[in-house]
Formats: sequence, C-alpha cells, structure tokens
Amino acid sequence: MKKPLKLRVPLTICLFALSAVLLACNASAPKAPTPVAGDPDDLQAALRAEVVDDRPEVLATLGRPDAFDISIVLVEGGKVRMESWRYYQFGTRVDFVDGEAIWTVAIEPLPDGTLFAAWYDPLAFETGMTGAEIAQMVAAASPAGAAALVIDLSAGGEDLAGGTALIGDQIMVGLYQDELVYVETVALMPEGGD
Amino acid sequence: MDKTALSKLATAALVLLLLLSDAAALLPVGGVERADAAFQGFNLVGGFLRTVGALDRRNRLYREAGATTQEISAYYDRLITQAQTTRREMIAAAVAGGTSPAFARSYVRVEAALKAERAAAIQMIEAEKNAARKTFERTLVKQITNTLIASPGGQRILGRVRETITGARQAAVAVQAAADANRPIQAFADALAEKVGGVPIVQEAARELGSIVGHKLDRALGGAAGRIEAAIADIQGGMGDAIERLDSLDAAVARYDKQERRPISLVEHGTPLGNILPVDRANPVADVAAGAYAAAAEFAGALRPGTSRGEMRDRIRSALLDERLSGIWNAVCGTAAGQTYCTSVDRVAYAAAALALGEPLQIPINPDQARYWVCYDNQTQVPRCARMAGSAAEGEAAAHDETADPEPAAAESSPEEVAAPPPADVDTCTLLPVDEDAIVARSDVHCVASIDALLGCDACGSKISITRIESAERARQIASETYCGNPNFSVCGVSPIGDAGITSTDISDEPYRPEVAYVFFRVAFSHRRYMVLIDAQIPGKEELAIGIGQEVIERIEASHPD
Repeated sequence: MKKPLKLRVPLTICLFALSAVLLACNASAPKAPTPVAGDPDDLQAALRAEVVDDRPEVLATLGRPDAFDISIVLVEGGKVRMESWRYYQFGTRVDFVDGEAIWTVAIEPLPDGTLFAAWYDPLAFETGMTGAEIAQMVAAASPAGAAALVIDLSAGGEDLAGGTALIGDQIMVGLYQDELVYVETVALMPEGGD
Repeated sequence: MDKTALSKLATAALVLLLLLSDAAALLPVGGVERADAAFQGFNLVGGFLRTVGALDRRNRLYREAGATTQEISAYYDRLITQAQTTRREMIAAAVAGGTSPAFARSYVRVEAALKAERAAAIQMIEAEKNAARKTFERTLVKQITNTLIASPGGQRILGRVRETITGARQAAVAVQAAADANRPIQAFADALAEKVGGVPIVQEAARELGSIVGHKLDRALGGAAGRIEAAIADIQGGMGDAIERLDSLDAAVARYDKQERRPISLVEHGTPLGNILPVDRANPVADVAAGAYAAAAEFAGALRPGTSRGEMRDRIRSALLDERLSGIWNAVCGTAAGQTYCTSVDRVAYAAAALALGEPLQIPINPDQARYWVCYDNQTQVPRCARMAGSAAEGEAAAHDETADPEPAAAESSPEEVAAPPPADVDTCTLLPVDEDAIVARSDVHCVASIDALLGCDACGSKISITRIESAERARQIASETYCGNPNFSVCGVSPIGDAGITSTDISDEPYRPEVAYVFFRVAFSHRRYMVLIDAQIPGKEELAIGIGQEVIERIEASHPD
C-alpha cells in the first residue's frame, strides 16, 4: 500500500532539518588550528605517544630528592604516572609525567632538624610492581631494615575493595589488586617547627 | 512504500549517516575532556591515601569535608590550568614552526591524569560524610601516624654518626695522652687513622637524611676529619682543637637525636602552590638544573650583585646546554658534572677567578681573540676552575702546559696578529718576602709561594701570589671584583692596603670545604700593575697577612723607583 503524502512530507522534512542542524554544527564549530602532525591535542594519541624519560638525568644532575610522591592514574584505560620530586636545598619541586619533566614548582623551606627519607630511590618504584616486591625493596632500603606494616583498606568501604596500604620507614605505599598505585615519602619534622 | 519514497528515504538516511559518522571530527578539539570518565578503584586507592595521608592537618583539626574539597579543588585547578596554558602555548609554537608538536602531549596526559586524580580525591572526601567511613579513617590515621613516628631509619643514621664521633674522639684523646706523656704514639695514631678512614662511609649514610640535616652533618663530619688529619701532623698544636671540634659536633648531633618529631606529608605541605615554571621540553634537564642551581645560589646569598635569579638561571642554563663544552671543561678542570657549570666570561671575571684559585693568569697573545671560561660551583658560585682558550704569550704557555687550549681552532691567531707580550721587567718572585724554597709556581708575570712559615703554622696551606697585569686600572678592577666567599660563611671588607681590593674573613669556623668556608682570611689588593692575593688558612693571622702585603708593596715600590 502506498504511503500517504501527508506522512512522506514530514519524514523528509525531519531528515533535512536534522541534516541542516548537523551542518550548522559543522559551520559553527571552532575552526581547528593549522593542523600539526598527529594532532598533539588528542588524548588517545598522547597516551600512545613515546615518552622520553628525563628522570635518570635529573637524578644524576641534582641527586636523590629529599622527598617524592608517585601517583599512577588510570585514564581511559591507560596508565599515566605522575611524580613530584622535592629538593629543599634548591627550593624546587620537579614534576614528571611518565618520566618527562613538565614543570618546576617553588617550595618553601622546612625547619632545621627535619629528617627526610632520602634513602629511597624514586626510580626503584616501577609501575606494575607487586606488594611483595615493594615490601622487600622498602625494607632493604630502610637504614634500619624496617619491614612495612600491611593494612587492608577493604574495611573502609566498597570503593576501597582491593586496596592495600604499606606503611614503612617514613613511607606510604598504596596498592590496588596487588599493583602499585601510590608512593609518598614522609618527612619527620621537629615538634613546634612549622 | 513505493520505489521513489524508498529512494528518497535511503538518500536521506545516507546523508544522515555520513554526517553522523563525521560528527566527531566536527566537534571542538576536546580530547582532554574525555578524561573525566568514570574512574575505577585503581584511582581511588591513590586518592584515598593522598587525602588520609594529610596527617598533620588531620591530627590538628579534622576539617569539614567542604573546606577540604575546596582546598583540593584549588590545588588541582591551578595545576590543570597550568597544563592547559602550557599545552596551548606549545601548540601555538608548533604551528608557528618553532618546536615539535609532540612536546604538547605531556601536558595533554598530565591534564587528563590531574583531572582523574582530582575526581578520585574529591570522591574520597565526600565518602567521609558516611559515619562508618569516618570512624575507619580516624583509626587508620592513628595507625599510620604511630607507624611513621616510630620510623627507625633516621635515628639509626644519627646513632651511627654519634658512634663514629665517639670512636674518633676516644682515639684522638689516646693519641694526645700518649704525646703528652712522651710515649710512642704510632699505635694510637694508627687507630685514629682507622677511625677517620671510616668517616666517609658515615658521611654517605648521613646524606640519606636529606638536605637539611644530612648535608649539614656530611659537611661537619668532613670538616672534623680534616681537622684530625691536620692534627696528626701537629699533635701538640692541633689535637686539642680537633677534640673540641668533635665534642661540638657530637653536641649538635645529640640535639638532633633527642628532638621530638611528627610525620608530615609534603604533599599537603605543598599547598598553596608556589610559582610554577614549565620546563623547556627541548632541553628539559638543563632547564630543571639551571632553575634549581639559581634558586640555591639565591638561598645561599651567592647571586652576583645586580643579577636576578632569572638572569642567573638563564646564564646557568646556557652554560649547561653547551654539552660539548661542558664535557670538555669538566674534563680539563677535573670537576664532576653535576657539581659545577662552566661558562664563558670576560677577562676580568676570568682573572678574578684565577687569582681566587691561586692559579697563574694567562696573558693572551692576541687579546681580541682570546676567550675565557670559568667553572663555578653549582650551589655556592665559588669558582672551581678558570681557563683561557687562546694562545698564551710564550712565557705563560710554556709555564702552564696543563692549561693548553682545548679549542685551538677557535682562537688560533696568525703570526701577523701576534701582539708583543707585556714586558717582563722584574721577576715577580723577587717581590715576595719569602725564601726561594717557599716558591711553588712561577712564570714571567706570576709567582705563588707558601707563607705557612711566615704565619707560624706547619703545612696549613697559606699562600701568597702576585701577578703583573696589563695595566694598573685593570689590576684595580680585578682586585675589587675578587670573590669574597659565600656571604653565609664569610664577611667581606675593603682592603686596608694597596690601590683597591677586598678582605674576606671566615665566620663559619670550618676548615676549608667547597660548600662552606673558603679561607680563614683573605686579602686581595692591587698596587700599581700588580695584583696580590694572600690566603691565611688559620684564624688569628689577619694582621700578619696585612703586614706581609705591606712588605710586598714596599718591594714593588723599591723595584719601580719611577
């Protein structure tokens, strides 16, 4: 049976209207900058891109940092490793993403008597390490050979299920399903010093 | 449906499909926004530790979630804004053809990761509104704090330092007692040497306490070891002083040892954020190092007069960037990469550095083509090495082969261009009030001699140097710009003798150490065309040093009756 004209006309109008809207979107979209190879602004491309590890050279040049923290974050299924190394004699924190130095941040001095755990090497904490590997490494690095306390975070709630914390000699380590996600070395500051 | 209608419908659908399939390309460039996707438990564990780890804040005042959320947002927002700004600048630079577009990718990644981390941290703060969670966290924070306070590593290192000091002190007392009783000291001295030999191992351990306590103990231990070594050669005169030094050091370590401390998260201590400087991705390590060294120089009060931290950073950066020259000069100077940076300077800065180092000044055959380099300590800006790149006048070059030009092609001069060397009118060594056997280096225009005997010490390393400069004006300029030492450890004054110059008096009470004391007393002055530098390496010899300088002036006057 032939479709009545009064039904065909609105359908065609709707399709053209939708097309017009999309074309209008196209026209009103911001004009992209002059293309550069491989669109540097694309996250997926950025996550896949090769990186240059500046950390060994920074370590060789400035020495071991007084303190550091490492966060490994999942972004669209890919892991991004961010770390901050703090050098108090230089009043400087150096931030890296996947090993690439991205910026320096000025840091304030700490009081005399502050003890850092500069016996830890940030490069020794490799992405993908397990809890057992880290516990062994942390105890070996400690000047007193101190073993880390293992705390199951699952009791904190469903959102923390699979989480574990290792608390060692001036260090906190976070694991998710036995995989490294967080490291922070802690300073011991004299009481009364702020 | 008839064929016409079907065809129209299919065409419209095709157009729609094409438009839809291409729609993603039409949307604003916004890959980074996709980072706000739901995050998994993977991210939450880090966010949780980051927030509960803010031990100091939480132990003092358990803040309401709202305030903490604001603080966390402010912290991440600033970093995210910085990442966006830097990314845009890098893309603009790449479009303009200045840099590689790949440099921007780090900032795309970090922006996405910061957003994910911020979301995780805020979710963890919000979760604290649940009473059970709050109770869990309070217990956990106590457990973490107690474990961290009991961290044994720092105390273990301090204990090792004290053991080393005690052992060295006991051995030093035994040597002194044997010497006082006129008994043989060899066995005691051997025991002392063994104790001192173990100091470098403990110094290395001390450095693991970081830059505030560790580096200080490292320097102090090195100073004490140096003092003991000197005292072994002069037991009667020096051992008592060395023992006092050890006592003083032990008291300082004991103070550190007994201090009550609390764990502090430096992640939380980093808020609010200080000045952020993006790294030049084309030269990342040089950029980072230059910024750090310039900051250290500013902290140490070692920025040169009239130089800003930014200027110092640029200067160090350009020096570090020239890797070829940096490698050459570190090799020539025997300095380790990472401790010094080498940079080209003018003749005055070169001469001031060379004289500060007690090195002979080289006179170029062709001054217009000569180039000068000085390597400075990264932190203190003390000159470590001064060299001239270019052919030296014959007498100088022959006398100092070790300073041969490492870049002959850059500074060779043709025979036509060779200027006459300055007249060697008197032997500079005859202008020094020392015996011939005290002279340690000489050339036509330069003489260096030990003045330990004149100052009444044995092998303490005091010296005098005299150099004939091209002109009296240049000599005055060099004398005035002589390095005065790190202002944290020395006081600079005006030389009371000569046409112009400086004095530098050490106030650190440390024996010479690169990062600490330079010399105990220095007077550098010019007289006529001569530049004189006297370094006294033991305290209390200021007047004697000035007296020796005065005698040099009289000798210059006597040899230049005009």
